[in-house]
Amino acid sequence: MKNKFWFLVKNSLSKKIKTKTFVIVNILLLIALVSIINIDRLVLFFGGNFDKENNIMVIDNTNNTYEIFKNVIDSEETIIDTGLKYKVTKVDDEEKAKKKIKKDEDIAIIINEDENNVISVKMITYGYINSNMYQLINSSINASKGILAIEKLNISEEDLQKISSPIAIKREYIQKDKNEKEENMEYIMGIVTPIIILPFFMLILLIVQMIGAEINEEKSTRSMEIIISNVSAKVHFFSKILASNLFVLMQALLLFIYSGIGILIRGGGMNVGNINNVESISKITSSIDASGILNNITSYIPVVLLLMIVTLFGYSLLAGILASMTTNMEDFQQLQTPIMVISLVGFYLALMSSMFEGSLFIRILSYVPFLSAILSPSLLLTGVIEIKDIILSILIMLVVVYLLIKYGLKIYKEGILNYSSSKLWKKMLKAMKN
Amino acid sequence: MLKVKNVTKFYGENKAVDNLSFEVKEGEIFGLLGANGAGKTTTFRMIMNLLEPSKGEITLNNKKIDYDVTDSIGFLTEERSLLLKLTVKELMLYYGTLKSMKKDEIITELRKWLKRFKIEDYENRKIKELSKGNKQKIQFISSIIHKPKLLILDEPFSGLDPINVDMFIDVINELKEKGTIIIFSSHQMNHVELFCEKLLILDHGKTIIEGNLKDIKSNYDERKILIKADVTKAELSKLDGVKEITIKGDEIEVKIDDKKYAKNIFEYISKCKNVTKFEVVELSLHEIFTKEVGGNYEK
Repeated sequence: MKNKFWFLVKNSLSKKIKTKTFVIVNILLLIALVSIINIDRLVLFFGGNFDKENNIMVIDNTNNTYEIFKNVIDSEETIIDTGLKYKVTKVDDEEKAKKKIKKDEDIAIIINEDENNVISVKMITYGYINSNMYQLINSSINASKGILAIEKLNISEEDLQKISSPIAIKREYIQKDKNEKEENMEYIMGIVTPIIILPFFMLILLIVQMIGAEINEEKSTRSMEIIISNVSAKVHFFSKILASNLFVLMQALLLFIYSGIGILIRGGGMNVGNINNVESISKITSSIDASGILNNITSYIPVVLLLMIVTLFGYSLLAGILASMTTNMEDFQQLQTPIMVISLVGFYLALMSSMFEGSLFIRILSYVPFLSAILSPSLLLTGVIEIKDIILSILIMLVVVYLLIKYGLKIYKEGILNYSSSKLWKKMLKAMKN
Repeated sequence: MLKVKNVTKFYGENKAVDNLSFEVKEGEIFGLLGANGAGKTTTFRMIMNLLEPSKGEITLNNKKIDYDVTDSIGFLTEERSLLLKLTVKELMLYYGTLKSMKKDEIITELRKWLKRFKIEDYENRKIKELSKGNKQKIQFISSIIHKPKLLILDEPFSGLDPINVDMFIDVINELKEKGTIIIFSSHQMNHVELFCEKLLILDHGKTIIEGNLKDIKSNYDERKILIKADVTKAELSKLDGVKEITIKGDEIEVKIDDKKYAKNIFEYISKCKNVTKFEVVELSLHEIFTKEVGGNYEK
């Protein structure tokens, strides 16, 4: 019987892997992940441009604003940090400048001075321009206007430097727990959510669908009678559960490898010219460092992984039990809707978890079986819950798994040989009592 | 020997099988008959260890049927139990391994049977691509590939043309000769009469007829007389014991309540002109089945 169990596991696993669908899906996933990670290069390769340079043409009718504006805009950029590329040139004629405006990046600024020596600016663009660029030009013009006024008042260069230098804002928080560390946490969550929550949610959907399809295939073709006459329902059930969980874990590992390949391809081409990427990575790592996650990461990863594995196991048990009660895939699709709703609720709650600001409501939800694994990673990263809360969630989930095995197996034994959908729930409740 | 001893099965309040008992020896073909819902499938499922009897016991060679024993049982289900997405070879490897067979053994046996059923080219063909008859052949092979000691055949000839039916009959007879215990179930009573020395008819879970086919038929007093002679329907209807007269081509079929009336009818016919046939025959199994089960069928 033991050999038959492993045979069933192997057979079920190889049936999933040796399909054209699996190969095609994984090729597509590899391409998709590598492309997403290297999307900027890909766009560049196909003629796109993420680093388009804005051509700011200045027609200075005041004759003394251009140089100031040119210096100020660089200074403003260091403060605002739009990351936009631009070049500022002086153009003599408005008509000449207009002729040069052929795309969104071409901007003409006409600086005039009225009889009261008040500066006015006219901006000519091809269409709508980047709002950050507009903000940069606007603040630069205002700053230039201030500098011009100061110059007219004969203020020394030293004093001018003091006046025009950016002011360092020291921040203080009334709410004690709303500190810099927490801001970093939110930043990290924005990165971690799509990396952890979304793939986990997708793996839940995958495992539920896979178990449902496999059990229903054997049931609807009546092969189940042949199989169950040779191995017990228990052996059959656990072989399907184990095979599906192994498959999902393998798929998760493959996704991880594909991401790694994507990062490797990106890293391999990284050079000094690609300074933005270095800066972004350094920003992420410094945020991670500031959050203190690096100190706890070694304990976070295994505990969160364990909760996810136990939860996936729970979902697979539930899917297997429900699949045994149905007679075809259409019925299963209906019966699995509550599972989908639960996981979807968990997914959205995880995305919105920062909005709850660590309320009791979200804390309680983080212990709820099937939801806990989806919610906990983000709550742990934002400091709403601690490791001990995750351990408690694992224990609760283990109790649920135990109950699913104890009562679900009785339903499974009864369900897999039942081909009638009449009085289904009554039959299943009765099976649980036996 | 298969022994089914005082077996009862309840589904809740409903008694699906009521105190069923029978024995089948090696080399015997046993007919288990009944209308739909009579309890045949439940009985097969209990023999296959798929269901636990509520009462009673089922043994094969004095061993209670468990997962070791089911390795030596072959089961051809009424509805096809084939995994349609698999190829013939994949399916046999799957089912064969579940019957504790080794891979090489499965391949050897499969090729032997595919050749026997003249479908050797279908080894790597997907089941869903096969015709109805070929699917039935594959299902039949899957039930005998492991050389079972007990073989349950539920409607084995479904979807087969007469040539393939003959092919199946030959194989079933060979298995019988080799000592396989065979339980045969079919709604085609002519097929049952072909094989079964012993049979049992179930009706709403209860045994209503059981025994040797010959004894069952001869114990029925009702008879049919087939006549070819210059005699009219009106003349025959006046005779004692005549229950029903049917003209079948140039032949007259006369049903009588009791075999004792045959002698008087023979005396009358012998006086008629052009008598070429006078044959007293027992009721067919089909007629006995309809007579016994027909009345209760609507219950």
